[in-house]
Amino acid sequence: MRKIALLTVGVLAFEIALPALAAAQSLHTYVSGTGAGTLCSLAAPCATFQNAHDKTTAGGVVTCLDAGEYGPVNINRSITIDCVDTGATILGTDTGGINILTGDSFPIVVNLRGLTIDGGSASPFGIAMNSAGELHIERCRISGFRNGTAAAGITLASMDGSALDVSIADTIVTHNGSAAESPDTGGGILVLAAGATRVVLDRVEVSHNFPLGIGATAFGTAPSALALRDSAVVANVRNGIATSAANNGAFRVSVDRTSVSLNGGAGIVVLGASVVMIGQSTIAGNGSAFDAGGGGQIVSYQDNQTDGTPTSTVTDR
Amino acid sequence: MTLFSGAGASRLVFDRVRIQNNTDGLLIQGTGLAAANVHVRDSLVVRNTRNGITAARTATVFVDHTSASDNGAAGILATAPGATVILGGATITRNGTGLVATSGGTIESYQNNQASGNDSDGLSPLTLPLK
Repeated sequence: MRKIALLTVGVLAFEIALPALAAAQSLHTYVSGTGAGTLCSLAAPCATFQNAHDKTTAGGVVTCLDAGEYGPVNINRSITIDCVDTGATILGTDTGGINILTGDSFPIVVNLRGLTIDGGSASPFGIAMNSAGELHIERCRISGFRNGTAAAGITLASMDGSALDVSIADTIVTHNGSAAESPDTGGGILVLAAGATRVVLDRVEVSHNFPLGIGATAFGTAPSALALRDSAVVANVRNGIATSAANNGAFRVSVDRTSVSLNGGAGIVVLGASVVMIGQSTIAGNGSAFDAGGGGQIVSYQDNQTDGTPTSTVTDR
Repeated sequence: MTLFSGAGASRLVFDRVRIQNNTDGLLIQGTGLAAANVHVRDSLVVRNTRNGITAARTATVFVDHTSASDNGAAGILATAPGATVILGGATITRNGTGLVATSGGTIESYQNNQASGNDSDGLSPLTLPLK
């Protein structure tokens, strides 16, 4: 009889807990600069992205209702943070701005829209993707991430055996990287490809970073690609675009209708078994236009405005 | 917009900027021996009452896929020793004069610009090859 009573209590407790769990997360949550809610509902928005993330089911959406500083966020699931035209900001801390980390190879999809992410010179990265899946960044500004030996505005690291697909559009990445601590690492956008990695930049400005504007390194045998289109990689302290490959890896990079100018070092650097294709682009006014070594190639479609000489050419078809 | 570049080296980037309805559009001037490097891309320099883009000091100004149009005097003016304006994929039209180089300034072209339809198209620039 006592066993039956205990079982009944247990079942009742379980039934009570189910609705509580269901209410704890929802597909659509909200933040507001004046928010003080805990459920992150439209009626009671939360004050921070982290609270909203934690209250959002995988695949859900966090919407900014108005301007505010919503704090850094650790993302561990598929999610969209949509703040276009609201004045939403994140001030990075000593642990970074947006850290996307699942801890396993299960692919996720993360969309970030309309964010100003500021490091205040005391934060190591604006956005770090250390998971498999997809990351799409639109209409964001990432600046001032200067703390640490590999400080960067955006760090994209794929895992061995997993694919990573990234697009960045209508975004400014400026004044990142540490001059004091990272003479050879850090910068605006860093791609560290251990698995198959594809990155597309469309209408992106990468400027005044240290030392690199864009660094792309392939560590594994999976093919990786970086495509720039209608973008500007300008006035970075050292190299504009630097690619390298190790362990039989290779990056294929296309630079299409893009300006790579006024960088203090080389405009484009290719080291190892990587190829950079340039078309309808301007590579001028850098310390030097091109630097290719270790079998790296810079191939031109012969329609570029440049004060340098590519390693080889191909004709339009 | 007037840029006074002093004795130190200067790097200036204009990306998707509209410079419109001013006296001078973009005027780069100042003293000093170090060159100013200026890159103007995907921008509009239009309807200014005098010149569109002026290099009036030692400078290299790259006018990259940019329109300098409907300006009252010159669309592009290089007017100092060491002042070089490089045109690539640019449109220079409906200005008083398209291209003007005086006082030791030079204008160079990648031969892929639309520089016509001005009251006077002005000089024929030095040519650079596409690569």
